[in-house]
Amino acid sequence: MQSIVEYLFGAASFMPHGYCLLWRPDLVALHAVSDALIFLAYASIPAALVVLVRKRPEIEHRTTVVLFAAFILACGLTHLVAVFTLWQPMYGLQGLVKAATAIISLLTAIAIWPLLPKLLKIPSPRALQVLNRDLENVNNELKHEIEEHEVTLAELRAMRRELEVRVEERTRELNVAYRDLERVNEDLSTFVHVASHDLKEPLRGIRHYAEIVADDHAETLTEQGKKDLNGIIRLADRLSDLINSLRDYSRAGNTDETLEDVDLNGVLKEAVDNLHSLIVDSGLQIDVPQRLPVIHCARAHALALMQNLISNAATHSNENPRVRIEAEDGGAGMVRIVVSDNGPGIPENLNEDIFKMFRRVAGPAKSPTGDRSEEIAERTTGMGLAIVKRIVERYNGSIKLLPSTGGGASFELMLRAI
Amino acid sequence: MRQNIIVLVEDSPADARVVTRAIDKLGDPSLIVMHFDTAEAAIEYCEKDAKWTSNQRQIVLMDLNLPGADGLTCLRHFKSSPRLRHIPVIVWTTSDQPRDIQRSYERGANSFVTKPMGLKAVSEMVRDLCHYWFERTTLA
Repeated sequence: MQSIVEYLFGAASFMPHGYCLLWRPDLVALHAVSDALIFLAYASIPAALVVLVRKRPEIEHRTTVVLFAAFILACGLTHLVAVFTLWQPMYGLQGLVKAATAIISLLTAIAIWPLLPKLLKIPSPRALQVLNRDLENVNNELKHEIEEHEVTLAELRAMRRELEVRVEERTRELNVAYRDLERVNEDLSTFVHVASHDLKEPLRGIRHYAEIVADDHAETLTEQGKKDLNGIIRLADRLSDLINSLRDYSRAGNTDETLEDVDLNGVLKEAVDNLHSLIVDSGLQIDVPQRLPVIHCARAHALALMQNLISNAATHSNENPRVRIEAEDGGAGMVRIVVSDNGPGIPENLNEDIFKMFRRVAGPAKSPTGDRSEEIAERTTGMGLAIVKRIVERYNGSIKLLPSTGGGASFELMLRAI
Repeated sequence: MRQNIIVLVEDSPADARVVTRAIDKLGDPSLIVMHFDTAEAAIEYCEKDAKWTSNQRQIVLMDLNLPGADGLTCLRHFKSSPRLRHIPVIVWTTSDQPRDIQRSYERGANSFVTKPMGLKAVSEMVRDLCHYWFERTTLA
């Protein structure tokens, strides 16, 4: 025990450090005061560091900071011991303090190097300021953009509302227009119906009176008189046909008829029955190579369609008239029906005209059968194809004249299949 | 002697003339045409003035378009009158409208015929009608 105290605080055999300075008062004072001041300074720095670490818990690498504080404090202690060694030869203690300082310093030195790159990475406050400013700018820009977007959004909403209002208005207008159109159509169809009836009534009278005169006065009438009466009868018939075709045209656009699945084979048979006398008079031959399809429409319309196509072929063809009716799948839910005759065909410049009302294309020029074909031609009203077109279009189908391939006319009809 | 009476309700003089003439041409003395221009006149005659006897048989040949009460109204009257409902009513009209046909039968028409065009056709039709109603069928 005695020996440790002696070792630390100096045995009588060592001399105090003051001897080395030969006890010159100025040197002793210089050393003592300087070391004392260094100690004070080195003691206060760690205190400050500890306070800093305590108050700013977010500071990273706290251990290193504490290590620094310890290292500085240790340095301070070596200077404090140096003050005492001026008068007391406590070189053992001084050595131990230095050894402790050396260990702490080494640890700190070892710790500082791996930390260096990390510390260098920490942005400087100036850089942080710049970064912050940039961020603020970006933020402001974003805010501005959001505001702009909100304005645009509001504009878009307003535009949409306006559009909705306009669509509503337009729909209302269209509905009104549609109702007007429907009414006009209805009025027109009623008009045609009434007119055709009222026109035909006196016409029947004219014809019948002419017939009665011709019949009752056959003996007293001259040949010319009989011919003239026949003229009246023929014209009355013609006018009657025209009125009928007008009525048929009006009916072709009817939308209030019941729609059903109509077998065109049955319709063809009925059409042929109805047109019996025309077919016999003209000698028309009808070829239907395959069975015809079933379509969805009003039966009356299908019948009018077939009758008009057949009578068109019968009245526009040469001697030995033939009509061929073929059907096939037209794709996209449509049926394609091609009706071709062996007549003179239709000049290309007329292929739009033929579908108009009261259009008659000149029949075959001077056929050897003469009177008969003229008489048949007189039976056409020029309404047949107009009626067909109206019916087809009423069902959103189409009709067109196919380009001529060696005589005759071919019509292509596209109709909705069932 | 048996009398077969055709009550013709027809406002068109021409059509009335053709029917009357056609019946005359048949040369059957038992056939008698009673022609009226309006439905009202025909109803009044049939209800009040006509003294039907057991020797008399009647059919009514009636147009649909008539001035005043039209054919359908007249038809309804005929078919709801106890005195007249047994008399066959033949609607004879220029119309071939499904609507007219439907309505006529619904109101009790016994036949619906469309007036043909041409003297010959009308004469044949009148002859057929007389033949059918007075000779082929048994009337009440």
